[in-house]
Amino acid sequence: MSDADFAIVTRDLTKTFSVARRHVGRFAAIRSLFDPIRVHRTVVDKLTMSVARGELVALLGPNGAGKSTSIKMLTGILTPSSGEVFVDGRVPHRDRVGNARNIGAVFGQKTQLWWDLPAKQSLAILRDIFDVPKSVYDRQLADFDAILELSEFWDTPVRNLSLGQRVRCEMAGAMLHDPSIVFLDEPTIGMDVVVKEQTREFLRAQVQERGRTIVLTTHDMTEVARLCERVLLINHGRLMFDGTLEQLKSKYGSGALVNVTFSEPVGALEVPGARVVSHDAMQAVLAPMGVTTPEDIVRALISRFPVVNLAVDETNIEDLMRDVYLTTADELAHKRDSPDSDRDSA
Amino acid sequence: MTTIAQLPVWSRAHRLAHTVRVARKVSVLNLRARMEYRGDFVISVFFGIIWQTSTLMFASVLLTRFKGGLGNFPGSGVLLIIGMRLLSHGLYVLCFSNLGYLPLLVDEGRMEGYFLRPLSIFTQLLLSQFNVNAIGDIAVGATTLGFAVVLIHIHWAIGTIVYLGVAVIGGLLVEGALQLMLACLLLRSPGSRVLGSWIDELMSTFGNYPLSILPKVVVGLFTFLLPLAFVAYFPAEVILGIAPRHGVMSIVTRWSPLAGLLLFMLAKRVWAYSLRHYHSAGG
Ligand SMILES: Nc1ncnc2c1ncn2[C@@H]1O[C@H](COP(=O)(O)OP(=O)(O)O)[C@@H](O)[C@H]1O
Ligand SMILES: [Mg+2]
Repeated sequence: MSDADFAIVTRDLTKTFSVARRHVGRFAAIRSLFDPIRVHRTVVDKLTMSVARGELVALLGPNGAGKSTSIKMLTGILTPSSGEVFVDGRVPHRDRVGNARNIGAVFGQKTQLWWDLPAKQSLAILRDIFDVPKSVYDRQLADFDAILELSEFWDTPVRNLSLGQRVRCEMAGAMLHDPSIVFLDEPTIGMDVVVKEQTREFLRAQVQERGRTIVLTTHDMTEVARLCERVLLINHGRLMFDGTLEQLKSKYGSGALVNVTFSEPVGALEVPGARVVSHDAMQAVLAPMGVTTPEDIVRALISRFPVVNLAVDETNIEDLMRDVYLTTADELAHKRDSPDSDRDSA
Repeated sequence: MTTIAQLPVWSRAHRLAHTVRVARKVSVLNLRARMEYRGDFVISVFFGIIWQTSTLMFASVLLTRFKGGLGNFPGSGVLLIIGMRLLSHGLYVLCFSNLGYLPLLVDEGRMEGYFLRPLSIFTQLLLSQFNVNAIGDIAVGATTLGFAVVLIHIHWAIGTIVYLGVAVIGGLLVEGALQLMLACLLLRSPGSRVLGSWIDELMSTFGNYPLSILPKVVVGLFTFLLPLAFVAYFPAEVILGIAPRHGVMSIVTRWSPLAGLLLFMLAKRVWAYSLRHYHSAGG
């Protein structure tokens, strides 16, 4: 297949920022002004991936992993330092306008709507900018309103909307022109549960009924579990994993944590398939490893120790990443040890 | 799926018409939004007028002290400079002063949104809000210019009037070009905002008087470094018939209304380059 057959293709996509470091010691401020120390930080590091048409993919990773920077390269906002990127066969930073007609994007914490105007007027302006025919515009609005219930607040100036209301309007704005590919950078951050669910339903409908391709960044694992079949996990700008959520969990554990409180002090704590994250006399935190589930650990704990309280923490991306780290570090160590390693020892 | 994305590549004329249509709609809506806060709207216009009127008062004091005019300019000629510059500046505020808000737009992430629409980022930047205070500036500028035209003892041929109009637009473009180049700096380091205020200050302090009252070195700086002389001073000399008749400066002065256009074209290039190297705010 050629690059144009995929919604998105990147090869060794890299972004390096040059950032100024401060001098330390005598005359630090003046030296920083006249002779700044420039350091290069590679924020996205040789990212190679592809997304097929009609896929809903989660770009997952902890804060600072390089998710937003990747999205900005895919949307033509940032020019890559090296590597290749194709969105619907186009190079976004070379053909920004062509790409813009074909994609939509929402950056959760930022607004693209006109601050002073009622949300609906912003949508009307976007209609003009994208030259959306009246019939399409009306159909789209009715469609969006049916799930997102925008008409309850779209006559309010954007500055007076709540976050959840605003982001729903942003989503409508991003899809008004019927883009085939949509990028959502942490769209549900700060939303309440009801609105989150509404948003997910909307995204599912956009993929299933309209055939859009959606790339979603988040560090909310629940969201991923509810929405995406496929997960791209990045950390320190590198692609660490590409596969289904099930594969991710079976490879690295679920990322969930089991918190336990004992009725009397407990000495050595050993539970098969679990790693002890922290442990003092009366309390402990355990993480399931490999195929072990939190429920297995709960069962094991109850049968062996004087448990008074148990709580399973929702899957948490930071913890999952920690597990991924430990496992990948292990993998690397194994590779180095094994004699048939394909690594060059020199 | 619908086929909006597959529309044929538009012709330039088509695109221009599209931009004009969008610009009109957004400006009307933005203006209407500002007018909803009536008190704020009235105060903005009022202070615009007060501000520029104080400039006029200072000038009239000067002119009554120096009855013979300033430098090589008669009193009415000084009024011509003031009127041209105020009107140019008012139009600049109306069209371009959103450039100064660039750091804010970058911080708020609205700049990212501009990249996502099939419209020039520059145009979107200029349309980000309606600058009501321009109305006061333009009103005072146009009034002053009107008085100057009546008071000056020259024959106002059609050619002269056209020259005046082009010069006012040229002045608007000089200021726009300077602030656009500054905006390119702002894109890299928001701290350069101070430089913008300083340029503003210089232009409003020195722009209202015939530069010939200043030392030659300073005139040179205001010609080639901060090209303030092209805003009103040079074209006014030509209109009043007191421009140099020989040498390079006679050509420079005569063609001065075009300086704005050239500078602006240069600034747009620098802008395009800066956008390609846009860093975006982290996060
Ligand atoms: N314009 C920039 N200049 C310098 N560093 C940046 C810039 N944008 C992002 N970064 C850095 O790049 C890293 C990745 O940022 P980002 O892509 O926003 O991560 P994420 O969205 O995954 O949280 C962070 O450490 C951030 O500080
Ligand atoms: Mg981010």
